[in-house]
Amino acid sequence: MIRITFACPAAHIPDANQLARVIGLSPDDDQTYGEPRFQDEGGNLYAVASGLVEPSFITTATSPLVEPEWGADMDAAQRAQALAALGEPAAPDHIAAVVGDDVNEALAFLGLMPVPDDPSGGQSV
Amino acid sequence: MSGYQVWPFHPSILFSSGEQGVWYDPSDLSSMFQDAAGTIPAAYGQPVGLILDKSGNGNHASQATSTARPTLMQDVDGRIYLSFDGVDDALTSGIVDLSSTDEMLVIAGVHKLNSVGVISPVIVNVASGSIPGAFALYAPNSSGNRQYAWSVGGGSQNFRAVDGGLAAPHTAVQSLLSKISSADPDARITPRLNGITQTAFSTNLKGSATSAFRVDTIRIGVQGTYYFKGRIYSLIVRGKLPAGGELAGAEHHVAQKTGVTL
Repeated sequence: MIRITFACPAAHIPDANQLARVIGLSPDDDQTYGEPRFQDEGGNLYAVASGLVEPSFITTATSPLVEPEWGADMDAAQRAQALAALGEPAAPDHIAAVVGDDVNEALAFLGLMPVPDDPSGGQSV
Repeated sequence: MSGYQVWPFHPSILFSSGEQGVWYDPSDLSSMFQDAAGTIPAAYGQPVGLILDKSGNGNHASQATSTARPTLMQDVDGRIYLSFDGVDDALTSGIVDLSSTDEMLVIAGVHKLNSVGVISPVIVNVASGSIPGAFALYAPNSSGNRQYAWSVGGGSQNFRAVDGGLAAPHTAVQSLLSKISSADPDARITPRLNGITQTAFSTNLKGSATSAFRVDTIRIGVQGTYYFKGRIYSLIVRGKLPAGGELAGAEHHVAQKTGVTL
């Protein structure tokens, strides 16, 4: 398997989750992109997902989409697919993906850093 | 050991009287599966979507989203662990009812990779530390002087962190003992690292007590939008404080799995 790290602009998270639902392994893959807790130098926000996938994933993700047996919003998935950009830094107008085992290196390539912690949130005290 | 037998020790002893809790053992490949449904056996270098609870309580932990599963790995010494990527990897149990106890023992074998400026939750049962009955271990917490941290919620948060010589990458057996109803803050939150009770803290908040722990999930590697980056070799949670040689036995067991000498 190979590791792919994705950077999805905040505005495209719903569509990207529908794409994940279509090309993923189960309907639960529509939870792939959560809160946008990474940002680029310009302060644009992104949800990041990183995981192991089969080598065939890239071909699947760039081929014409087939609605899964569990259903999906295919219009949303196709909008997200049209924004996919393999091997490019993160930007607000596309969903960037980079292949590589080291997540830190992937984030550096994407040009992303975590949004600073909110000291009032969670258990950060 | 004052007549208590430390070896041989088996973690199942901790749950032999029906104590509530979890025991996750990544070194036991038969207890893990690549998918959340438990149909594809675990294999090195592959994601883990389900880890079975070996405590006998049936509190299995899973991850339904395929890219958010930790990876089963083996280190150079042959020790087996779950690798969490710090981006989205996490496992969550079903509901664990700890509402009938005011006692808690947590032991984790961890190798942390995040060092500073990042909240890195090893194990959490609820998203806010001030909620009554919350408990959590961090490696590290939000700032550089909180290399390891412990939290217990009593309505206001009991929180302790330690500093110094523990920057990532760092491997440790991190333990928490708590009697959450106690009026003594040292009993509400007793942090241990590599078998030693910690007494010098970079942060020390003496919160409040509450009557019992919670009915909630056990979340491994995640708290809200924060994720743990590193390895987990072993994890034990029990809703009862250790007696006799249990603590030494359990910590030595986790240390052996983790490659730490106590």
